[in-house]
Amino acid sequence: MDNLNIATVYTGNNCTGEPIMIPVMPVRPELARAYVPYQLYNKIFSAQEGLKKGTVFPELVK
Amino acid sequence: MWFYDKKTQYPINIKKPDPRMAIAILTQYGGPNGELAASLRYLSQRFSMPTKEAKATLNDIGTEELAHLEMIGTMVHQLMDKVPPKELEKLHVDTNYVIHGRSVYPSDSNGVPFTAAYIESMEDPIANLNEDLAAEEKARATYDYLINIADDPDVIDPLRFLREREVVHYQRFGETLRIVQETMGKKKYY
Amino acid sequence: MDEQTTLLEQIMAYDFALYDLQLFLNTHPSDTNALRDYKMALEQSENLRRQYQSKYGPLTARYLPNTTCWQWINDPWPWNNKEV
Repeated sequence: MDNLNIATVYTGNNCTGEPIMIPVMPVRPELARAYVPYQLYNKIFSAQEGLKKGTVFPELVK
Repeated sequence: MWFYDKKTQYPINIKKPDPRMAIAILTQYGGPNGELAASLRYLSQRFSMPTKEAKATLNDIGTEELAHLEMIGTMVHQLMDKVPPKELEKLHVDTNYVIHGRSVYPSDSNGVPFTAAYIESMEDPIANLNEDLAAEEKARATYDYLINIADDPDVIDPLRFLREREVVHYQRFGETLRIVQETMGKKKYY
Repeated sequence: MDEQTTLLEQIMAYDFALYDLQLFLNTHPSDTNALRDYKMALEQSENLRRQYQSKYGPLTARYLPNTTCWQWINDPWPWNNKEV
Protein backbone atom coordinates (compact mmCIF):
# COMPACT_ATOMS: atom_id res chain seq x y z
CA MET A 1 0.00 0.00 0.00
CA ASP A 2 1.59 3.32 -1.03
CA ASN A 3 1.45 5.74 1.88
CA LEU A 4 1.36 9.44 1.02
CA ASN A 5 4.46 10.62 2.84
CA ILE A 6 6.43 7.46 3.43
CA ALA A 7 8.66 5.28 1.28
CA THR A 8 9.30 1.66 2.17
CA VAL A 9 12.40 -0.44 1.72
CA TYR A 10 12.70 -4.06 2.83
CA THR A 11 15.43 -5.97 4.61
CA GLY A 12 15.07 -8.99 2.29
CA ASN A 13 15.23 -9.48 -1.46
CA ASN A 14 12.13 -9.22 -3.65
CA CYS A 15 10.44 -6.73 -1.29
CA THR A 16 10.19 -9.33 1.49
CA GLY A 17 11.40 -9.32 5.08
CA GLU A 18 11.05 -6.50 7.57
CA PRO A 19 9.73 -3.24 6.05
CA ILE A 20 11.66 -0.08 6.90
CA MET A 21 9.54 3.08 6.65
CA ILE A 22 11.29 6.22 5.52
CA PRO A 23 9.33 9.48 5.88
CA VAL A 24 10.02 12.41 3.58
CA MET A 25 11.82 14.02 6.53
CA PRO A 26 12.58 12.21 9.81
CA VAL A 27 10.17 12.75 12.70
CA ARG A 28 13.06 12.92 15.19
CA PRO A 29 16.21 14.06 13.39
CA GLU A 30 19.48 13.35 15.18
CA LEU A 31 22.22 15.87 15.75
CA ALA A 32 25.41 15.56 13.69
CA ARG A 33 23.58 13.91 10.79
CA ALA A 34 22.62 15.11 7.32
CA TYR A 35 19.11 14.51 5.94
CA VAL A 36 17.97 14.91 2.34
CA PRO A 37 14.17 14.83 1.82
CA TYR A 38 12.98 11.55 0.30
CA GLN A 39 11.36 11.96 -3.11
CA LEU A 40 7.81 10.70 -3.66
CA TYR A 41 6.58 9.65 -7.12
CA ASN A 42 4.31 11.95 -9.07
CA LYS A 43 3.96 12.52 -12.79
CA ILE A 44 6.96 12.17 -15.09
CA PHE A 45 7.85 14.01 -18.29
CA SER A 46 7.55 12.37 -21.69
CA ALA A 47 10.75 10.63 -22.72
CA GLN A 48 11.65 13.39 -25.21
CA GLU A 49 11.08 16.18 -22.73
CA GLY A 50 12.90 14.26 -20.00
CA LEU A 51 15.98 13.87 -22.17
CA LYS A 52 16.03 17.60 -22.97
CA LYS A 53 15.61 18.58 -19.34
CA GLY A 54 18.07 16.02 -17.97
CA THR A 55 15.52 14.22 -15.80
CA VAL A 56 12.03 12.73 -16.13
CA PHE A 57 11.11 14.21 -12.72
CA PRO A 58 9.67 17.77 -12.89
CA GLU A 59 10.29 18.33 -9.19
CA LEU A 60 14.03 17.70 -9.66
CA VAL A 61 14.54 20.29 -12.42
CA LYS A 62 16.73 22.94 -10.76
CA MET B 1 30.56 -6.48 -15.79
CA TRP B 2 29.89 -3.84 -18.39
CA PHE B 3 28.38 -3.90 -21.85
CA TYR B 4 28.62 -1.09 -24.34
CA ASP B 5 25.68 0.56 -26.00
CA LYS B 6 26.80 2.19 -29.24
CA LYS B 7 25.40 5.65 -28.62
CA THR B 8 26.04 8.57 -26.30
CA GLN B 9 23.51 9.08 -23.51
CA TYR B 10 22.64 12.54 -24.90
CA PRO B 11 23.05 13.69 -28.52
CA ILE B 12 26.32 15.50 -29.21
CA ASN B 13 27.01 17.08 -32.57
CA ILE B 14 29.30 20.09 -32.35
CA LYS B 15 29.67 21.78 -35.73
CA LYS B 16 32.01 24.64 -34.80
CA PRO B 17 35.52 23.81 -33.50
CA ASP B 18 36.62 25.73 -30.39
CA PRO B 19 39.96 24.62 -28.94
CA ARG B 20 39.78 26.98 -25.95
CA MET B 21 36.41 25.55 -24.96
CA ALA B 22 37.83 22.06 -25.48
CA ILE B 23 40.58 22.70 -22.94
CA ALA B 24 38.09 24.22 -20.49
CA ILE B 25 35.77 21.21 -20.74
CA LEU B 26 38.73 18.85 -20.24
CA THR B 27 38.50 19.53 -16.49
CA GLN B 28 35.39 17.34 -16.46
CA TYR B 29 37.37 14.54 -18.10
CA GLY B 30 40.44 14.26 -15.86
CA GLY B 31 40.00 17.03 -13.30
CA PRO B 32 39.10 16.99 -9.59
CA ASN B 33 35.34 17.33 -10.06
CA GLY B 34 35.17 15.40 -13.31
CA GLU B 35 33.45 12.28 -14.51
CA LEU B 36 36.49 9.99 -14.25
CA ALA B 37 36.89 10.89 -10.59
CA ALA B 38 33.18 10.35 -10.05
CA SER B 39 33.05 6.93 -11.72
CA LEU B 40 36.15 5.60 -9.93
CA ARG B 41 34.95 6.96 -6.60
CA TYR B 42 31.51 5.36 -6.76
CA LEU B 43 32.66 2.10 -8.37
CA SER B 44 35.31 1.74 -5.65
CA GLN B 45 33.01 2.63 -2.76
CA ARG B 46 30.30 0.19 -3.85
CA PHE B 47 32.25 -2.80 -2.49
CA SER B 48 31.88 -1.78 1.16
CA MET B 49 28.28 -0.61 1.03
CA PRO B 50 26.11 -2.39 3.63
CA THR B 51 22.64 -2.47 2.07
CA LYS B 52 21.42 -3.66 -1.33
CA GLU B 53 19.91 -0.25 -2.16
CA ALA B 54 23.28 1.40 -1.52
CA LYS B 55 25.16 -1.19 -3.59
CA ALA B 56 22.77 -0.68 -6.51
CA THR B 57 22.93 3.12 -6.27
CA LEU B 58 26.74 3.28 -6.13
CA ASN B 59 26.99 0.72 -8.91
CA ASP B 60 24.50 2.39 -11.24
CA ILE B 61 25.52 6.00 -10.68
CA GLY B 62 29.18 4.95 -11.13
CA THR B 63 28.18 3.32 -14.40
CA GLU B 64 26.31 6.42 -15.57
CA GLU B 65 29.38 8.54 -14.84
CA LEU B 66 31.35 6.42 -17.32
CA ALA B 67 28.74 7.37 -19.93
CA HIS B 68 29.25 11.01 -18.96
CA LEU B 69 33.01 10.58 -19.27
CA GLU B 70 32.31 9.46 -22.82
CA MET B 71 30.21 12.55 -23.46
CA ILE B 72 32.95 14.87 -22.23
CA GLY B 73 35.58 13.05 -24.30
CA THR B 74 33.32 13.32 -27.34
CA MET B 75 32.86 17.06 -26.82
CA VAL B 76 36.61 17.67 -26.40
CA HIS B 77 37.32 15.59 -29.49
CA GLN B 78 34.75 17.36 -31.65
CA LEU B 79 35.90 20.79 -30.48
CA MET B 80 39.58 20.08 -31.30
CA ASP B 81 39.48 17.66 -34.20
CA LYS B 82 41.01 18.90 -37.45
CA VAL B 83 41.86 22.37 -36.06
CA PRO B 84 45.12 23.35 -37.79
CA PRO B 85 48.07 23.40 -35.36
CA LYS B 86 48.88 27.02 -36.25
CA GLU B 87 45.38 27.94 -35.04
CA LEU B 88 46.09 26.27 -31.68
CA GLU B 89 49.26 28.27 -31.41
CA LYS B 90 47.43 31.54 -32.13
CA LEU B 91 44.86 30.72 -29.43
CA HIS B 92 47.60 29.84 -26.92
CA VAL B 93 46.36 26.30 -26.38
CA ASP B 94 49.39 24.70 -28.02
CA THR B 95 51.06 23.63 -24.73
CA ASN B 96 48.58 20.77 -24.54
CA TYR B 97 48.97 20.05 -28.25
CA VAL B 98 52.74 19.53 -28.17
CA ILE B 99 52.33 16.73 -25.63
CA HIS B 100 49.11 15.08 -26.75
CA GLY B 101 48.35 16.42 -30.20
CA ARG B 102 44.61 16.96 -30.54
CA SER B 103 43.78 13.76 -28.67
CA VAL B 104 41.77 13.39 -25.47
CA TYR B 105 43.96 12.86 -22.37
CA PRO B 106 42.84 12.59 -18.73
CA SER B 107 44.07 15.83 -17.21
CA ASP B 108 42.47 19.01 -15.93
CA SER B 109 42.34 22.26 -17.92
CA ASN B 110 45.81 23.19 -16.70
CA GLY B 111 47.34 19.95 -17.96
CA VAL B 112 47.62 18.42 -14.46
CA PRO B 113 47.22 14.66 -15.01
CA PHE B 114 44.40 12.79 -13.29
CA THR B 115 45.14 11.42 -9.84
CA ALA B 116 43.25 9.14 -7.44
CA ALA B 117 44.03 11.78 -4.79
CA TYR B 118 40.82 13.43 -6.11
CA ILE B 119 38.73 10.63 -4.62
CA GLU B 120 38.23 8.82 -1.34
CA SER B 121 36.88 5.36 -0.63
CA MET B 122 36.57 4.46 3.03
CA GLU B 123 34.96 1.49 4.70
CA ASP B 124 32.55 3.79 6.54
CA PRO B 125 29.44 4.20 4.35
CA ILE B 126 28.32 7.42 6.04
CA ALA B 127 31.66 9.07 5.33
CA ASN B 128 31.55 7.76 1.75
CA LEU B 129 28.02 8.99 1.09
CA ASN B 130 28.71 12.45 2.50
CA GLU B 131 31.74 12.65 0.20
CA ASP B 132 29.51 11.63 -2.70
CA LEU B 133 27.02 14.42 -1.92
CA ALA B 134 29.88 16.93 -1.89
CA ALA B 135 31.28 15.53 -5.13
CA GLU B 136 27.95 15.96 -6.92
CA GLU B 137 27.65 19.58 -5.79
CA LYS B 138 31.20 20.34 -6.93
CA ALA B 139 30.51 18.78 -10.31
CA ARG B 140 27.27 20.76 -10.61
CA ALA B 141 29.10 24.00 -9.76
CA THR B 142 31.80 23.19 -12.33
CA TYR B 143 29.14 22.75 -15.01
CA ASP B 144 27.72 26.14 -13.94
CA TYR B 145 31.14 27.69 -14.60
CA LEU B 146 31.49 25.93 -17.97
CA ILE B 147 28.00 26.98 -19.06
CA ASN B 148 28.86 30.56 -18.06
CA ILE B 149 31.75 30.69 -20.53
CA ALA B 150 30.16 28.73 -23.38
CA ASP B 151 28.37 30.39 -26.30
CA ASP B 152 27.57 27.60 -28.74
CA PRO B 153 24.14 25.96 -28.18
CA ASP B 154 25.65 22.66 -29.45
CA VAL B 155 27.96 22.86 -26.43
CA ILE B 156 25.61 24.40 -23.86
CA ASP B 157 22.89 21.80 -24.42
CA PRO B 158 24.91 18.74 -23.34
CA LEU B 159 26.53 20.74 -20.51
CA ARG B 160 23.07 21.64 -19.17
CA PHE B 161 22.08 17.97 -19.37
CA LEU B 162 25.18 16.90 -17.43
CA ARG B 163 24.57 19.61 -14.83
CA GLU B 164 21.04 18.40 -14.20
CA ARG B 165 22.28 14.82 -13.80
CA GLU B 166 24.44 15.99 -10.88
CA VAL B 167 21.34 17.41 -9.20
CA VAL B 168 19.53 14.09 -9.61
CA HIS B 169 22.54 12.11 -8.37
CA TYR B 170 22.68 14.31 -5.27
CA GLN B 171 19.07 13.38 -4.53
CA ARG B 172 19.78 9.64 -4.93
CA PHE B 173 22.87 9.75 -2.72
CA GLY B 174 20.79 11.68 -0.17
CA GLU B 175 18.15 8.95 -0.21
CA THR B 176 20.84 6.27 0.05
CA LEU B 177 22.26 8.05 3.10
CA ARG B 178 18.77 8.07 4.65
CA ILE B 179 18.45 4.31 4.08
CA VAL B 180 21.91 3.56 5.50
CA GLN B 181 21.29 5.77 8.54
CA GLU B 182 17.91 4.11 9.14
CA THR B 183 19.28 0.61 8.70
CA MET B 184 22.33 1.19 10.83
CA GLY B 185 20.07 2.57 13.51
CA LYS B 186 18.35 -0.81 13.70
CA LYS B 187 21.38 -3.05 14.09
CA LYS B 188 24.94 -2.46 15.20
CA TYR B 189 27.40 -2.10 12.34
CA TYR B 190 31.09 -2.64 12.88
CA MET C 1 17.93 15.77 -39.22
CA ASP C 2 17.97 12.50 -41.16
CA GLU C 3 15.82 9.49 -40.36
CA GLN C 4 18.62 7.51 -38.70
CA THR C 5 19.44 10.37 -36.32
CA THR C 6 15.77 10.94 -35.50
CA LEU C 7 15.26 7.28 -34.63
CA LEU C 8 18.46 7.12 -32.59
CA GLU C 9 17.44 10.21 -30.62
CA GLN C 10 14.07 8.61 -29.85
CA ILE C 11 15.94 5.58 -28.51
CA MET C 12 18.17 7.89 -26.47
CA ALA C 13 15.06 9.47 -24.97
CA TYR C 14 13.48 6.17 -23.87
CA ASP C 15 16.78 4.67 -22.71
CA PHE C 16 17.41 7.80 -20.68
CA ALA C 17 13.94 7.64 -19.09
CA LEU C 18 14.71 4.02 -18.21
CA TYR C 19 17.99 4.96 -16.53
CA ASP C 20 16.48 7.85 -14.56
CA LEU C 21 13.68 5.52 -13.40
CA GLN C 22 16.22 2.80 -12.57
CA LEU C 23 18.05 5.14 -10.20
CA PHE C 24 14.71 6.09 -8.59
CA LEU C 25 13.67 2.45 -8.21
CA ASN C 26 17.01 1.60 -6.55
CA THR C 27 15.90 3.72 -3.58
CA HIS C 28 12.15 3.08 -4.01
CA PRO C 29 12.00 -0.62 -4.92
CA SER C 30 8.34 -1.15 -4.02
CA ASP C 31 6.96 1.88 -5.89
CA THR C 32 4.43 0.29 -8.23
CA ASN C 33 3.77 3.52 -10.15
CA ALA C 34 7.44 3.85 -11.06
CA LEU C 35 7.56 0.15 -11.96
CA ARG C 36 4.56 0.60 -14.26
CA ASP C 37 6.22 3.53 -16.08
CA TYR C 38 9.49 1.60 -16.31
CA LYS C 39 7.70 -1.27 -18.02
CA MET C 40 6.07 1.06 -20.57
CA ALA C 41 9.36 2.78 -21.40
CA LEU C 42 11.07 -0.62 -21.72
CA GLU C 43 8.54 -1.77 -24.31
CA GLN C 44 9.01 1.44 -26.30
CA SER C 45 12.79 1.19 -26.17
CA GLU C 46 12.89 -2.46 -27.25
CA ASN C 47 10.53 -1.78 -30.13
CA LEU C 48 12.54 1.20 -31.40
CA ARG C 49 15.84 -0.65 -31.00
CA ARG C 50 14.53 -3.52 -33.07
CA GLN C 51 13.55 -1.08 -35.82
CA TYR C 52 16.87 0.76 -35.66
CA GLN C 53 19.10 -2.28 -35.69
CA SER C 54 17.33 -3.94 -38.61
CA LYS C 55 17.81 -0.79 -40.70
CA TYR C 56 21.11 0.67 -39.52
CA GLY C 57 23.10 -2.07 -37.85
CA PRO C 58 24.07 -3.10 -34.33
CA LEU C 59 23.70 -0.96 -31.21
CA THR C 60 25.27 -3.75 -29.18
CA ALA C 61 27.63 -6.55 -30.16
CA ARG C 62 24.89 -9.03 -29.29
CA TYR C 63 23.22 -8.61 -32.68
CA LEU C 64 24.07 -10.94 -35.55
CA PRO C 65 21.64 -10.74 -38.49
CA ASN C 66 24.03 -12.57 -40.81
CA THR C 67 27.21 -14.60 -40.60
CA THR C 68 29.02 -13.16 -43.61
CA CYS C 69 30.19 -9.86 -42.12
CA TRP C 70 30.86 -8.47 -38.62
CA GLN C 71 28.93 -5.22 -38.53
CA TRP C 72 29.73 -4.17 -34.97
CA ILE C 73 32.81 -2.28 -36.18
CA ASN C 74 30.85 -0.11 -38.65
CA ASP C 75 31.21 3.66 -38.70
CA PRO C 76 30.10 6.01 -37.35
CA TRP C 77 31.06 5.54 -33.71
CA PRO C 78 29.22 7.70 -31.19
CA TRP C 79 31.98 10.31 -30.87
CA ASN C 80 32.12 11.01 -34.60
CA ASN C 81 30.34 14.08 -35.93
CA LYS C 82 27.33 13.60 -38.08
CA GLU C 83 28.42 14.39 -41.63
CA VAL C 84 26.71 17.58 -42.74
